Amino acid sequence: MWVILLISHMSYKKGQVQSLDLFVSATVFIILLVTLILVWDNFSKRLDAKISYEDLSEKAIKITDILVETRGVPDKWENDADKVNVIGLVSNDRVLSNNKIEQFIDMEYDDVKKLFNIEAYDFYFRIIDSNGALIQIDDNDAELGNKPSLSSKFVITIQRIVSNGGSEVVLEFTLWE
Amino acid sequence: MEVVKLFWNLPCGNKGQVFSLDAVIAIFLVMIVLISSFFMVNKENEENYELLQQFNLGNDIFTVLDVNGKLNSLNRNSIKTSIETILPKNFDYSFRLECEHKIVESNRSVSSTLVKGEKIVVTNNLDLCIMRYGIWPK
Repeated sequence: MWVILLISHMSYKKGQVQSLDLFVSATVFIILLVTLILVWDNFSKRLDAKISYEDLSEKAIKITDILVETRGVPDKWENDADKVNVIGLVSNDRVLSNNKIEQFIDMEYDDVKKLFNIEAYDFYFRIIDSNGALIQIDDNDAELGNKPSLSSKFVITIQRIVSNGGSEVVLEFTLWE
Repeated sequence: MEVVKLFWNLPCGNKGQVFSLDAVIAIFLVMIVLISSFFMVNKENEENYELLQQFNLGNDIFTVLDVNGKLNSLNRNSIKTSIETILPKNFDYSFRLECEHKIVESNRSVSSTLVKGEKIVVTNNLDLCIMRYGIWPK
């Protein structure tokens, strides 16, 4: 009698236990899967942002390196700015050339972006003294480009210390998206 | 109790639990690897760019001071004033200028700094000196 009762009870509950187990395991699995997808998505976005920021940093560092350490190509490009291939602003290592800066700040913004290979970004260039005031080159402010706005996605500013007429000045290059 | 035991020992038994446990462990491991690798990659790159900026800053300052003849005096206070005029306020520095007959040094030792550099300086009196310097954020 007991055996019959147990068998009938077992066969009655068997399906419930299996579905409960399946339900619990499926729920846990789905929760973990959703969490993993969300974490993955979050990380991908952060990684993309990091890659963009690194690209921006690398470009800004390379551009300032070329500006303060080379004369440009051709060497005396300031005599014919239309034929410039690479812009350099110094006459000697870290010694600014006023003629080159004068030509540089007179150039078209889009042309400079093309030469720097930063068409996807915007930039702002300026030369300031140790008090933060813009220096003047031939009665013009030594600045070129557009300042970043509060809504800019990424902004990176590189400052390089250079010599101008025997005094130390700061060449500042801001690259932003 | 016996009945419950019997349920769990059914032919298909607790197979589902093993599968869920396996899935939990697998996803947990994937998340650990993902999170740790992300933070490792992040940390390394941040440090590289920071160090590169510091290296450039130190190199610029001492090259420009040399070009402008601010190291010629071989006077500690004069050199310190020149450096402090152009060094960003959030950075500290140390230097050691070793010439043939004189050594000029800042208060702090260069060897204790992380970003170091050195360059050869020729003064107005044609003294051949080696400038060793260090720059670090305050």
